[in-house]
Amino acid sequence: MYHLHRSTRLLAAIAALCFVATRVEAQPLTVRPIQNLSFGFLLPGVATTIDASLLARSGQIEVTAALGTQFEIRYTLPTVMNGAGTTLPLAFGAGSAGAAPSSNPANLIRFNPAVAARFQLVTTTRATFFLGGQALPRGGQPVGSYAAPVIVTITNLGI
Amino acid sequence: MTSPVTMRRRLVAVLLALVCAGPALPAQSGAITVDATVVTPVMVTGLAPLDFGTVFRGINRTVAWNAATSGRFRITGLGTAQLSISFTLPATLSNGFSTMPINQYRVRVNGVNSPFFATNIVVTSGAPFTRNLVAGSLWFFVGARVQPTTTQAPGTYASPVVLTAAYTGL
Repeated sequence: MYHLHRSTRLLAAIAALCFVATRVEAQPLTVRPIQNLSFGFLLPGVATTIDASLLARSGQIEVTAALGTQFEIRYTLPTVMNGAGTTLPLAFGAGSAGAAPSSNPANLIRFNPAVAARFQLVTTTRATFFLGGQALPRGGQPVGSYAAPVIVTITNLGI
Repeated sequence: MTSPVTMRRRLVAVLLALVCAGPALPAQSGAITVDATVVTPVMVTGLAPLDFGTVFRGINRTVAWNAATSGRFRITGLGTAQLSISFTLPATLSNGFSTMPINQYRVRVNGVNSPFFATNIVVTSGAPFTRNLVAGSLWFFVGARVQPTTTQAPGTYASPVVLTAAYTGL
């Protein structure tokens, strides 16, 4: 009986602690798309690379949450763009993505967008994620506009 | 054999893990787009030389931008894409070691192959400017003045006028 009562009290305490912890974890986290990854004009047969730090052309999203929030970012990357009745190959390298505590891409923390990455908001409540990549138009690539979606999934891991 | 106390401790540990995991927080998604436009290469074609014909020592000669012997270029590319364009305009014509000054360039641009209603553009050699294609083309008409000296050596004088164009991406 003693052990049972002791366990019951311990469970109640744990439940209370976890309730508090759960309330803290529920701090809202927002994801806001800022800018598309735009390669601009491409010539057939000429590969073009956009670096994540290229502010005018890199793809950008903003994550806002409370200080201390940890989260996981996962890109769902297309392998081709579609347009002109055909496809245009895309490639993303190990350093094609970068994170910064502001909208300034200087001193990016580079990471591989093909792999989920975890971050924590330590000194700011906002982080911007930049995405670069490479477009590889074929020699006979038809003229026209091409596009593909990039899905960015953020999982709030709490504080 | 596991004692009841040990089992309860294990139960407590399991509850701790389950409860403290809390409700799964929903993942949030955002979407951006990767986009590009494949274009035809820009092509620059010299259609006609800026031809002063026969000139005489000490007598300046001007060819107007709309004259039959004005210099003409055509640029072709995609639709109404913006181009960065620059001219390299020589300051002299050459004949071996002899030179003849050339200046007062006048350049006009049109969306059709006609100098009529062409737009005047102030061109500085080597200085790029932007212009949008008109239905995939632009025509340039170039006039200038030569100043043969009173002791100009006879002969044929020439120098290249170079037009360079590239997409700006806009």
